[in-house]
Parts: sequence; C-alpha cells; structure tokens
Amino acid sequence: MAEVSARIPASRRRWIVTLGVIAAAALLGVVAGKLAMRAVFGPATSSALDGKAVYALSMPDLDGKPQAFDQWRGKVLVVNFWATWCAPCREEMPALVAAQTRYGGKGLQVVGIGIDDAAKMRQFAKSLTLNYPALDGGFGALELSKSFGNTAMALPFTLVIDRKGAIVRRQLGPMDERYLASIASQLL
Amino acid sequence: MASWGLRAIAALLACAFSAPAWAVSEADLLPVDQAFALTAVAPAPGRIQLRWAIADGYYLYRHRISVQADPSFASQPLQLPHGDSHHDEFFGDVETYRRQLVATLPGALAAASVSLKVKYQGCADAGVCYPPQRQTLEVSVPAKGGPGPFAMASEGRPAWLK
Repeated sequence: MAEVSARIPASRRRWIVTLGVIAAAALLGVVAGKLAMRAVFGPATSSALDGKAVYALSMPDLDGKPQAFDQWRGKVLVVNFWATWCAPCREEMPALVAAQTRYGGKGLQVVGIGIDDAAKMRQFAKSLTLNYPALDGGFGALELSKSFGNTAMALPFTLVIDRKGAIVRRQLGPMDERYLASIASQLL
Repeated sequence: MASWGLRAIAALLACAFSAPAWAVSEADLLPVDQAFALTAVAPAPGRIQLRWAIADGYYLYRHRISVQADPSFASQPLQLPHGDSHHDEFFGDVETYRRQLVATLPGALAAASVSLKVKYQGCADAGVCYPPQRQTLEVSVPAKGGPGPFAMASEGRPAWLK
C-alpha cells in the first residue's frame, strides 16, 4: 500500500480514497434503505383494512363500466384517491401518469379513485390524457379511504400495495416522480 | 476530505430515505372544523353574519362557499369580500381567503331564529384538501330594537354523509 501510494500522485490518491468512501457510503445507504423501508413502511395499522381488502373492491370507471380490483392482483398497485376540487391532487397526477408509462410494463398499476362528480372527472381526465383507470368512487369513497388509514379524510391519499397484497405505504399529500421511482425500484 | 466523505454519506442516506419532502403528517393536520371554525350571528334583524376563523396555513375557496337560509328569512345573495386572486388551470380565475372571512347574508326578519345550511371547502398549504363540508347553523335573530347579537353553533357534518 505504501508502495502504491508512493507511485500514485497525491491528487489521484485523494480520488481513490474518495471513491472508497463513496462505495462504503453506498453500501451503508443500501442497508439503511432496507431498514428505512421497514421503519417508514411500518406494519399496517391494526384498525385499518389490509391490502387484500382492496382486491374485493369494484367500481365503475368513467364510462360506467364496472372494474374489479381483482384484475390487478399480483401487480404493484398504486391506489390514488383524488378529486377535481383538490388542486394538489391534480398537480400530482402527471407524476402518476409518468410512473404508469415508465413502470407499467414492469408490473406497476396506478388506479385513481375519484371522490367527485363523474362529469367533472371525465372533463378533467380528458385534459390530462390519463393512461390509467380513473374510477368513480363517489363521495362515499372518502369513507373507504378512511378505512384504509386516511384518518384525516383529506386528499390526495395514496396506498401502495405490493405484489403479495400488503399495503407498504400510505401517503397523505402528493406523490412525486422521485418517490414513485424509489417505490418502483424497491418493489418491482 | 472528511467533510467530503460525510457529505457523500449524507447524500446517499438522503436517497435511501427518499420519502417525498411534502408527505403530510396527519398529526400536523387540523381537523377540518378547527382549520375553518365557522360561527354565525345576527347583529341586526335583517342581517346574518357568518365568520370563518381560518387557521394559519389553510385557505377557503370563494367559489365553493354557499349558504341556504330558511325561506322565511327571504335572504338575498351572500355578500363575500374580495379574496386573493389565483389562476387555477381547471377552475379558471378563483379567489381564496386566509386568516378570516366575514360574509353577510341580508334578509328579512320573520322568526326568532333562522336555520342556515352552509357549504364550504378549503385546503392546507401542506398539500392536501378537505372534502366539501356542509354545516347546519341555528341563528337567533334579535327582536327589532332588542339587544344583539345572538349566536349559535350547531352540528356540522361532512357533506358526503348527507
């Protein structure tokens, strides 16, 4: 090592040490990430319904056609409760569209549950070219979101359900692309 | 060197714990009736005043406020002050209210009390919105020349339950 140091100029040596530190940090990051997954995702609240209850749901889409959630069993399911009267909901939707485009082929499925008038949702969905199903939950879907852990009953609220049907994330407030990417890399 | 390494570690840890910066904690969010505390009084026989005390960091939409009084009160259109103007991509030009909103409902005295059905909807700067609320208020109306104001507050239930 002493010999190597002698032959390598100081500036190169600093780089090698720096790379070593970054590699070590990366390893630490992966380990911490796994721990964080457990800490952040946590066990499901006992009072809330679990992910498997989602597969029992069925709701009409914006054309009135019933859509059973069972069809998405085995996928990483991102269930997004939203409304047109909720500006933060509308602002996060392009990120959900992008995630569906990017990870849809790998097994990610975004499903929107609208807590709104169907006519307003249709009008909005048209303007955004939604590439995932938007379902008509009606105002009753707010109670549904509560039973999945949205105790504040505010929007947007999003559930992330893994391939086995476990709710691994409940998020109040908007999702962003970076976060959706981290979900995709961890669960797909 | 050391600070370089620490910074690299910090950056990687930040990536590992990458929940979005604006995830909202329920614990920090006020219940809707505390975020927008609504009261109504009748300072004069022909006038009802509605007041929302709006918590810091919360706002109400003007276009989503409506009041329906007993027909006996023969109410005229609700008078709302100018709010802060915003352009909303979906709803167009909208106005919002912060801190406090006082609205006046003019009408005619017919009974000792007036029942009001009030609808409103608002959001938190934290990045979430509350569903439309519907609250029923009973307002005592002072007799002509009598002392006022008389207040009220009654049960409020979320609109989707009705």
